[in-house]
Amino acid sequence: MLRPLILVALAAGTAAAQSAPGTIRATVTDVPGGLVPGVSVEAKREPSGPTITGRGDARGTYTIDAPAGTYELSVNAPGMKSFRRSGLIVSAGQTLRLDVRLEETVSLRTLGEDPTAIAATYFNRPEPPKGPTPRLTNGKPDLTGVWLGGPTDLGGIDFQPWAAALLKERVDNNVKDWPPTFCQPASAVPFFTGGFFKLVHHPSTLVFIVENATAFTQMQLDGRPHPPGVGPYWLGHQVGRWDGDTLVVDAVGFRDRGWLGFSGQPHSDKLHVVERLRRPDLGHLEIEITLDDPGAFQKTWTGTLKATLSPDIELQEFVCNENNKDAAHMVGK
Amino acid sequence: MGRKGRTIALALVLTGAASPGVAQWLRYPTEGIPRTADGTPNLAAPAPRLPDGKPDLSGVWHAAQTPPCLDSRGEERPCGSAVGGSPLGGNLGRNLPGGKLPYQPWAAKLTEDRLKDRSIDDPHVRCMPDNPPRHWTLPHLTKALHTPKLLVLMYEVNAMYRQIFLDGRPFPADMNPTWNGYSVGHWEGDALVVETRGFRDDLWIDTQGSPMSSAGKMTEKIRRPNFGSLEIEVTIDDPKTYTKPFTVRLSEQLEPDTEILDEFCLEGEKDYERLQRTRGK
Repeated sequence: MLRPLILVALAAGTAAAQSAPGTIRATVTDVPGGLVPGVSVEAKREPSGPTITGRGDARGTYTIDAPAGTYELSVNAPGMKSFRRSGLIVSAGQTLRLDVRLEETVSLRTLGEDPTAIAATYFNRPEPPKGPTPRLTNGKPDLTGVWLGGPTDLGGIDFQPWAAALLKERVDNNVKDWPPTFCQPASAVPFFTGGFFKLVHHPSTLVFIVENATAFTQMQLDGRPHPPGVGPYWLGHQVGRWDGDTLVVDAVGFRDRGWLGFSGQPHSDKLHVVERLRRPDLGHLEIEITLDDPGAFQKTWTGTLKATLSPDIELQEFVCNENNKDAAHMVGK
Repeated sequence: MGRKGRTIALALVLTGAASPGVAQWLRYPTEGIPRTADGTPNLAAPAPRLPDGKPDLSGVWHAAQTPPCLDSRGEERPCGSAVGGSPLGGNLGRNLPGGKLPYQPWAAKLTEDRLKDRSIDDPHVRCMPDNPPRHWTLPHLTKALHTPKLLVLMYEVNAMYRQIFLDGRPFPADMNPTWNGYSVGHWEGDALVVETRGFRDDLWIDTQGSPMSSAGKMTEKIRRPNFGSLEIEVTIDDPKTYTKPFTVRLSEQLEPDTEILDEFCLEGEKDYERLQRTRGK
């Protein structure tokens, strides 16, 4: 089975620079006591003031500088229940210390999964090599490489009521029917699968291969349109075109009630995905993802995923359904 | 259920190999295919070339032959499948002297037992990878994408893939045993010579269950004599399983202007369980 994603917000810390700030400093652990790296943090000034966002570091601590006042603090890490506390008083020049303990929404520890160790893969990655963007023979950026993606925050999707109810049902049921449990694709958006993925860039086609799930998908780059009535496919029908040095991939033709992420965010067969892929240099890949789904969302959603090049390694062969025991172990409530 | 064909050695029953009623073949006049005046793909045209001048093996391929299907009297009849499968898919040694592979005694016995069981334990039925050389013989589409440093083979079956490295790398020192093995290729004239090592034990190399061990070494010489075909000479050297190396010839034909479909074998998969119920019957 695919390892559960540790999806963490990418929003860079943007501490408000105002006079005489105080500081909120916290250590975030999970119930067994492991440090939870890279949490997303929001401090909202009460009653209706601005919100300061930040991100925890790789060692499970975060620090926010905030103007003196009263705050509601929320701490989120995917796969974990939200931590929320209001009435926190920040005094000028003082540090408010907190210990935050996050409970898991879904525990996969019985399957031997260690969310903290998986998160460490993302946060302790080596610096990618430096150099200019490699180019295809046609002069366009060559996106080929083995990449370590994520983490991505799929939060903030504004669901229609039926989709919100389905999401709740999936979460309440401990994501028992998560497709990778049955060796099926983790997400309609391949880049949300997590872990290592490989791009093979041929002038006619961009191939996406993911290591820890089934399996590959193609983005057609030869100018073809979406065939009428194409699909329904798990991963949609994907076509791409260049906008300068940005490859714009457009996907339609999805299945109904698919999954976008590990927490069970649903989509309908009206899902429309637009991915803008950029390789600004040798070692980095940036993908801006816009999801529009008039069948499931109230409004479009946009997020960014950043990946780093993992040179000199290759994807391992992974045959999910060889002796797969997950379906029997995922027992629901 | 996906479009996985379930091949059973004796009868070569290809249920499900045709596309289901709800789906449709993707048809799109694909760029780069030479055409006659009326727009028909000219499959006899010369093979395309990579920027470095070597043959470009890219394309959507399937076995050039039609597999034999047997009726209840054991007579061959058309299978009704639009996608070819090689007669060698059932018995890779069909064209060798004696009509069989040079088995070691234990391997001959194992293959015989599997045939008696009508191949109900075939890994393909359980949606396991169609390891080489089987993917060249089964009645399914394979798309090849050829870049100067890498040849990727994408199988329609269960979105499986195989990589053939063309960047001159050696075999890794300590390979994980895998279904697809580790494949590296080099050019000998216009033939791409692909060598594969690092297989896991007890792979099936045909549908009757001829085995290959982790000692197996495979060499595939792939040529594209014209736009529409591939010729593949497969040599297997596995002294644990076979008394001597053997070479068989396979051929593929291009399926122009179409694409492989999204197919997840395990979705609603019932074949394995149903076939297991027939054991001994």
